[in-house]
Amino acid sequence: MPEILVNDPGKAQPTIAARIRKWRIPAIAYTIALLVVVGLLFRLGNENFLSIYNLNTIVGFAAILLMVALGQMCAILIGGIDLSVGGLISFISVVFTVLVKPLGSWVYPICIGIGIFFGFLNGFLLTRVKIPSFIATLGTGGILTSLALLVSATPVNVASSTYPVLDLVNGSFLKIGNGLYIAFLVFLGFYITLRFTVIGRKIFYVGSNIKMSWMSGIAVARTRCIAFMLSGLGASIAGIMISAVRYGGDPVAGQVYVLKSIAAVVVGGTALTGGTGGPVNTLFGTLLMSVLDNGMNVVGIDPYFQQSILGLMIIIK
Amino acid sequence: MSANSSLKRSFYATECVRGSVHSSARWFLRTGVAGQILALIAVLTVFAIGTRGKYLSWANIEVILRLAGIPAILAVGLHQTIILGGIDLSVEGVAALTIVFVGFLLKNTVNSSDIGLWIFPVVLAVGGGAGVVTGLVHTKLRIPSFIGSLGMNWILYGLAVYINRATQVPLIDTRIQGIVTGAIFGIPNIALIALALVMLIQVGQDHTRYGRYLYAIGGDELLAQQAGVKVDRIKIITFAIAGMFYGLAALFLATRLGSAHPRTGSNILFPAVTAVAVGGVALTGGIGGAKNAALGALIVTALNDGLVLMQVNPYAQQAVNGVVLIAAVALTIDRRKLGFIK
Repeated sequence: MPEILVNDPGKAQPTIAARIRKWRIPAIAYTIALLVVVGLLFRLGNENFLSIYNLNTIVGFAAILLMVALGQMCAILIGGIDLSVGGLISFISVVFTVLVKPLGSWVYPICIGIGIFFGFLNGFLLTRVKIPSFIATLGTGGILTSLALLVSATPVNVASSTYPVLDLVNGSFLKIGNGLYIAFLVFLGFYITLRFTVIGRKIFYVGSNIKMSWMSGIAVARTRCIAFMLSGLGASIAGIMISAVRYGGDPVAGQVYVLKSIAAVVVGGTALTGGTGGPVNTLFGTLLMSVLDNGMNVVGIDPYFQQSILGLMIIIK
Repeated sequence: MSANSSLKRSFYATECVRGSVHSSARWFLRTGVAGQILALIAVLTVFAIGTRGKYLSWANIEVILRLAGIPAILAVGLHQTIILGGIDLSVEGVAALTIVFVGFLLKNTVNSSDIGLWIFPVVLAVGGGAGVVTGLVHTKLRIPSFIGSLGMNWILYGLAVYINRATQVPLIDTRIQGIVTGAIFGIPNIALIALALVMLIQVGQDHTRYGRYLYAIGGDELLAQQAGVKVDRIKIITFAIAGMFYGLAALFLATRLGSAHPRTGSNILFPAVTAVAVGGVALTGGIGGAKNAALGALIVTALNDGLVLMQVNPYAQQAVNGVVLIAAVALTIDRRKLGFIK
């Protein structure tokens, strides 16, 4: 698309965001400030908002969303977008539920492998078949949704004999649910990968200036493929966590996560043009999204109007 | 079809075809929809064999024409934004908002309003207004069109359900329903309406200044700007026209079903994008026209109809559409223009 290639056709007008950026306040400061303000506002609206029970709900939702958002962030960092996370989460969710009985604990690596494979497929379509990522992932997302419906057209339950297998996600240690530990470990994994490894630096280089990084001898195609594989990894972990928490799979469970993951990444301060942002931004973006999601319900904003607010946030940011 | 590629095609035509069929074959290739017509014939042949001729009965062809009308109108609206080199993903949101207005204003069982044919200007205004906002978001806020329109999609959809409270409004207006479901000489009206709109846009693209500007921007936006084309204005107009088409399609969709619910318009984006891509309108912009988009809609509808007749699992059909979408984009996209693909 030429509008992405040519950054500023003709007159270069600084946008409002660019003017604010001149003051050199890191984007994450806004996100944290917004998080505090929104939290206080919801506390005023309903005093149970900051109760232990409700905070638990928020964090439980944030743990799942964080997995999707971290993956989505990798796709956005290289300047692409992954619209197939919804389909992938749905697919993994039903496949996990169906396979957990015959395979036992092996279902975890197999589901993650499936996620990475579909991420690779997206990367392959982008880098080798050379289709813009938003259209390629729209296509694979449609394929994955219908695959999920083919595996099971209605929500299915996990057989109760396999509940011990799910304890990896559902159990708790020191009164904190295992899901949070998993989320923390995956976050740490993404943080270390993007911050301290060669491939992480390459993802940032490719995102900020793809032509220059190609000239510097970076394997651009491989880097972008790996970014999409990370996106598939995040979505598959989210799919596993969703079916483990619900003790069942749902072929349309993932649809809501497309909007929410993009919103979490963008609100955290990762630019859709790629190259700026990072896991810490996404962590706070996810927290903000979860607080908003929960708080708008707690203070009683119309659930359908909430969707409009999220859409508006993506455009304004 | 860009001048270069049609020249190349006619060159190959001279190479391959000799004798008296020479000029007619060259004319066929030069229409710009040769590949699409061949694809349509291939689809028809495969399903005609697969269903032992039942597929080619007039009853089934009428069904295909009836079903192709609305995707064709959507595709003709959508493809103009793609010719610009952008894309408009707000189709479902605009449709949902329009359907809510249709439910409020057309004769129904919930309230007493009955505006009859005056619904057309209302629908055009709602769709066009939404399109103008999308265009402004894209041009003035400098957001890539696919993300700007995706955000607009969610905003409009949420707004529609918020206004409507997610209620089902049964429509009892018979005038517009009569127009949509009727037929002249056995040809469904909806197909004729779509054909008229396709011709309108095709003539506009071929013979007006606006059409030339559209292709100039799609070919090279920077160059068009430097040549004095008011790029932003043309873009906003295009998004507005596209929005009007979505509004019209949504009106026909709701009146055909006889009920207005914001969800009526969900799942119409995917067939429309697939139709545009299959029709040979390149996502890189500047290539293809209304006739391509309409033929694409016809091919996709014929394909889905054939899958139903062959009793393929309905859930597998979206997978087929996804594969067709990716394959069509892979075949039509102009990679020289992209450099690095994002």
